[in-house]
Amino acid sequence: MHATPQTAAGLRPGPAATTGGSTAAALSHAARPMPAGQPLDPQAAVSVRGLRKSFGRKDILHGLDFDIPEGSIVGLLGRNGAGKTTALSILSGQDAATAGEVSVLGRRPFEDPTTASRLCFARENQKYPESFKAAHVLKAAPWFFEHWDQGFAERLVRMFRLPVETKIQKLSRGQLSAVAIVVGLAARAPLTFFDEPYLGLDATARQLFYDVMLQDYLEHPRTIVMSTHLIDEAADLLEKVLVIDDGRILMDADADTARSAAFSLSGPAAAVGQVSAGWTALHQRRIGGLASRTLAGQPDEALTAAAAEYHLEIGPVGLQDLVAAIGSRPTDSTGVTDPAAETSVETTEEQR
Amino acid sequence: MEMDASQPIFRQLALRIEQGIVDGTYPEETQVPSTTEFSVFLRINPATANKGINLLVDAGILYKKRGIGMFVAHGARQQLLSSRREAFTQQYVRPLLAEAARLEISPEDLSGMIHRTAAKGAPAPDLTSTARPTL
Repeated sequence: MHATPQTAAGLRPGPAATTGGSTAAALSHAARPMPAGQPLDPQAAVSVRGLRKSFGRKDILHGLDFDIPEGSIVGLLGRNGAGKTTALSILSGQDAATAGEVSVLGRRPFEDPTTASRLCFARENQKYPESFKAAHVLKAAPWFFEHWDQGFAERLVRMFRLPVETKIQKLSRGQLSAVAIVVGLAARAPLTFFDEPYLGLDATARQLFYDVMLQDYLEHPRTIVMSTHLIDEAADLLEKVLVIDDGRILMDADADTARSAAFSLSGPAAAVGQVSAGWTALHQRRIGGLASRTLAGQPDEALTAAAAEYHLEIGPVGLQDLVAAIGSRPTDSTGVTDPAAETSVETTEEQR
Repeated sequence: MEMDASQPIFRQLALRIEQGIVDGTYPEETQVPSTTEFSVFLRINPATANKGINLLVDAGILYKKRGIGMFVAHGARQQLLSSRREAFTQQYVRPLLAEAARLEISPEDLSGMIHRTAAKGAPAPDLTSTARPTL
């Protein structure tokens, strides 16, 4: 599906483009992250301003600003290590922020323990007491979640074929995900975080999860935040997407805006280079004399006409490819550069 | 799901409903599926489904009966037919002529091809969408 490392390359038109901020700046206004310094929104299910997190000297979150509207399904998208789980841990009160303001359901999660009963953080690597079985989890859950639905939990257990009398330590990764899904859905918490809820699940079980989640959300509207990098299979369920990379928000948009945040231009490399001059390329792939560039924005009349003249193809860029494109640049914090990217930029410049 | 990435999903939903009205799946003055039903069936966010339906309400194609649901407006089919006929040249005739020119087929030859193909009977399969909902 993606090109080999020889042909795949992040394309950065200028030195400034190596920072997250400038990738974001290339996106249309409606897709850009919230600027720093806004007041907290107490009406939002989650409101975060200037959130920073460091472990020792290592900065994991570099200052996040975003809102999650109440009653929406929001995708927190990004690569492994982007900071998704760290952010969710802080939002759920399991970890303290290094700096910044966090409002969850109108309260501060780390200082106010009452927040915990109104939110559910569902993840496959949840720690349980030794010798605990899924049956114990289901028995204890009503004590933690005031809206817990035991009948729904039992239906979900059957749906996901979860062995409730096996010790949790002995469950497979997929079965651990099923435990998290059962708890996350049956809790009916006003705010639910699913942290990559599909790990170890096969395609059938994942689709089952998406279908049940959507159905239950329709019957019991609430706020659901799902972190995922299996973006294409979940994209249509989302109302809003937050793309996080290297501890920064790169995109903050409603799902429809995100879908039209970029397009691809493909054809002979020289013509692609010429027609896309002046546009911000988020990503480029090359094979032989052909190139395909992911460009930020939507094609205007001039580009459409030029593309037609040179017989270039303009195509849509799905959310998965867009996130891959804006997350494919090397991290700037370590100073690591991707040699393939450099090569590509040079050859592209020659083509012009 | 047969949604493609080339247009916003709410617009694709609106187009599907329009298509359903044009081809008679949803006759005038009958009820169309609800936001919830479209959401579950197409596996899309209900806010997105709602946006698509509202697009058609704003255009006067659908109207809301309080407490019952969404209905196809009287005259909706004619309205859609005339607007789609207007778009026909831009959407089909121009690309057809452009491709014909690329293949060095003159407009006269093209016209002959159209007549001969039509004479053979059965209309070509619908290429405007890969799938139609059967709701």
